[in-house]
Amino acid sequence: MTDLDAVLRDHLRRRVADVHPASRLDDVVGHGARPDRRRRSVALVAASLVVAGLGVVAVSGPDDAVAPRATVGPTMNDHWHLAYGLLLCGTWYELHGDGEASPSYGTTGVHSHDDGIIHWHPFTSESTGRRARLGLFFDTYGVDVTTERVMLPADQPAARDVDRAQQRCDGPVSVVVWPDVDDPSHAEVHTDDFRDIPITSDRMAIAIVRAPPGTPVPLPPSVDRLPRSG
Amino acid sequence: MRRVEPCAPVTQTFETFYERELTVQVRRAVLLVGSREAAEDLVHDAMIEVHRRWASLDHPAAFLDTVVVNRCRDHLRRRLVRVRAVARLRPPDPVDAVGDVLDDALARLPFNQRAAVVLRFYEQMTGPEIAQVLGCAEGSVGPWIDRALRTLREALR
Repeated sequence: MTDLDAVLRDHLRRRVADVHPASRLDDVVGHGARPDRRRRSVALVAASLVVAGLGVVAVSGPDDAVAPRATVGPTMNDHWHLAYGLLLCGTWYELHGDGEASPSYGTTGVHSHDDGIIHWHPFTSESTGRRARLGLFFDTYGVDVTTERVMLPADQPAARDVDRAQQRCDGPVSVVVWPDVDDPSHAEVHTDDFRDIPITSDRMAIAIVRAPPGTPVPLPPSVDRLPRSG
Repeated sequence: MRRVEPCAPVTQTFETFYERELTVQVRRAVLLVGSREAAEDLVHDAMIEVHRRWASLDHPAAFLDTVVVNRCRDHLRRRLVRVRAVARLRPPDPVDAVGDVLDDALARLPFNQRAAVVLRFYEQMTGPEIAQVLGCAEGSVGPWIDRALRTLREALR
């Protein structure tokens, strides 16, 4: 062991010797969200009510994230439709192709029809119930969404435009979810763990956004193409 | 210092797991992100993730290790832009004590190097254990630690 090893070991131990975190077990088990996050969630909904009917929310910073909602999810008998769009540096994009050539489509049944609508039509339990998560849609198209960037696969016609656009603008990636497009005053802003966002109902709307915090985000244009029922 | 996964996890309740892991995980997160408040929030969120999956996890401690480290990595990425902006505006802090120099140098290390150092020298993990937590090849761990130690040595000169 070198001197530096010993110095490091000693330093790291001393650095956290007085860290004794208080238990938040009740919060974890009982509610699944930090108390401060719940307050922010309420604040977000209240702010959205100001623009009720317009479906416009403001993208929050990372500290304003809301905890994912409890999920029920679709069953094998469902065929849900969700409006989506990618709002990257001020421009809306939609993915090209139906995604049915993707390996994941065969088991998840998650696809689209060049129409800005996610068709959530589970073929197996891989995309039902609590397993119904936004990441399955990303897998269908090979889209990679991190907290810093949205990357489309090279076979997407908009891939280069999306890449160039993001080189010219700042701001983190957020995902705005409207659980029911018929109630546009209620929206949730997610700032991480995008793949784990639960799919909880027919007629949701999802905007994948890269923009500075505070930017207003309207409902995706494809909401007008949503069928009335699944 | 390294804790051991219970032999019969089916008998372990989430409550006992939480109490056993909390301090260890928060201390590790403090060393990774440099902020006690952020560390507590990150571990808390990771615990929620574990609680949601509790029934399906064979090795919850290993899962928690990975989730906490990944959340620390994401947290630092998001903070990076803000920290860089502040660094341009603020003159460097005077540092004289060895501890301050080490803290400063550790904070400047790339995340994987910093995490490898913390897991090796604070948690006393082996190379394969570090690789599992960081989700990397075992062969990457040694070079990361070597590079980190070189950087720290230079900082201490």
